[in-house]
Amino acid sequence: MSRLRNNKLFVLGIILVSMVVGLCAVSFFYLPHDPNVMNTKERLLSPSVEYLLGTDQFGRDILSRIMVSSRYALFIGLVSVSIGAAIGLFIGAIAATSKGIIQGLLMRMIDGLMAFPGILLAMMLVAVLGEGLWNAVLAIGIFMIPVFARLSYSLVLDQKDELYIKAAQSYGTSRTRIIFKHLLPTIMPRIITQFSASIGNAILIESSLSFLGLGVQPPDASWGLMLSESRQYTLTYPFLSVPPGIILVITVLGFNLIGDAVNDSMVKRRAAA
Amino acid sequence: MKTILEARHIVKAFKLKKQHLFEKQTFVQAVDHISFQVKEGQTIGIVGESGSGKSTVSEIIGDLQKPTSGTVKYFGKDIGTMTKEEYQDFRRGVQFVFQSPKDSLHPFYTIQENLLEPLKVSSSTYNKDDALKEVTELLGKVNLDESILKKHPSEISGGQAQRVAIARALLLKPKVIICDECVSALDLSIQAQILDLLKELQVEFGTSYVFISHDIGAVYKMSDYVMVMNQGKVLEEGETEQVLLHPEHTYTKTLIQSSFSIEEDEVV
Repeated sequence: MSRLRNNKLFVLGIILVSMVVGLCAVSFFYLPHDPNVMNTKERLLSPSVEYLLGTDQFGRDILSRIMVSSRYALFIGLVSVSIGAAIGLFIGAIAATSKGIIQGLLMRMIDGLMAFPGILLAMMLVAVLGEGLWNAVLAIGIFMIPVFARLSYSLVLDQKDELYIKAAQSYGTSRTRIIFKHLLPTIMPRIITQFSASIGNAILIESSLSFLGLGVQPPDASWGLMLSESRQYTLTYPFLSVPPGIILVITVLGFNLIGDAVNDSMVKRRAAA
Repeated sequence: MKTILEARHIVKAFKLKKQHLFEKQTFVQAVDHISFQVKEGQTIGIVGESGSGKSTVSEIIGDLQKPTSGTVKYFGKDIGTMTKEEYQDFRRGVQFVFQSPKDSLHPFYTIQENLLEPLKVSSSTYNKDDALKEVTELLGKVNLDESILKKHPSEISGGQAQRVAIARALLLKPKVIICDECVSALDLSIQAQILDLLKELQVEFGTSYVFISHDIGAVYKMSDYVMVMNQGKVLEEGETEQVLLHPEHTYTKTLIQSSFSIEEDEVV
């Protein structure tokens, strides 16, 4: 951990993510304006003391809308990655501890899922399931399964022939207990790293879906939706796309930096050990 | 003497990788028709160079690997056709002490957690206080201090770790302990201590050992009965003194000569 604290990129990642999480937390207690109330008299205003980031084409406060959408972004990021990680871990662990047909079947299914480009798979699922928040969560969750399945598969495969697992078998530990009590704790650090890195990715996909009109639906705010709406004003009022763009970059960059730094520190620790 | 564990004509064949698709599948016999009996309170030694199939034999009789053919019997019952209760009894009755003690302990668990785990798994009436009492008592028997319980495997020495592993094997009051190269990874002085400890514990608990090693000196010290293995086959077997002091097979003679010549070098 001490090495992580000295890693500047890790600290930067933590700062960026805390900014977004802080913004989200504040949004539950205080919003400068109602994010969904339109005010046609105050359309497309530049930043001022009253409206810190200006107003959009319907006269809604951009800062308030950004704050409210951070809830969706973090919620979708956390929940969808949790779904993907849980199912992926389960499939990977089962496949790695099985033999022959079950192993082949499970992993070829995962390979098939992995062959689809992420956003295409998510779009396809949303097209089948219908638009909306929960379907977006589910679609992104399903998209996340292969990454975690592959990772846990290779980690379990690597660990399952270790002597401590053989020892556990020799005193009669059941397969379920070996997976949950012996293997999972050992592979957890790597899974957590992947988890953090995947949240950034999930938020990006959520924004893309919303941008295409398949995720969060108007009048609710989402960074992707705000970016999409700003397109009409690219020439007349380009500033409209800046706040949601920047907050998206901050969030995704933050999570990815944390994931990378933790991963690097673990690779170093492995090399040292 | 009662026979506890018995191997009958066990064979283990591994598939060799095919060079091309239509080639006939070829096998390598890692273990070739081996039979022996482990008797109550006795130590049976298996000696041979690396790759002779010793470890495969140990894993087959401890049911960590399935034999290609042949049977393993525990108190006369085939372990392949046992009921669940009988199998659990077998699992408790046959324990392992592995070659690299540190790797055989869960790296993320403390020694205490490592030692409590077998009791948790095998006892339906698990109670932490009672279990801890048992663990501390056994620690005393393997000459370890209680303070070791809070440490992780990475924080203790190899000799200490092997004592922990022996304590873990003894916790379930086994009838047989399979020692697979259990002193090979340790310093010579520690080796002697561990061997002495195993002998003392055998007198106290009446456990049988299957003692597997490439080290003829250690096997000579520990065993009542010896089997010499090479390329999956038993070349010579019999009472320890008979086999190791008056070997008949040329392979056994070479094995003994090579190990003795090293010891002589060390003296010089």
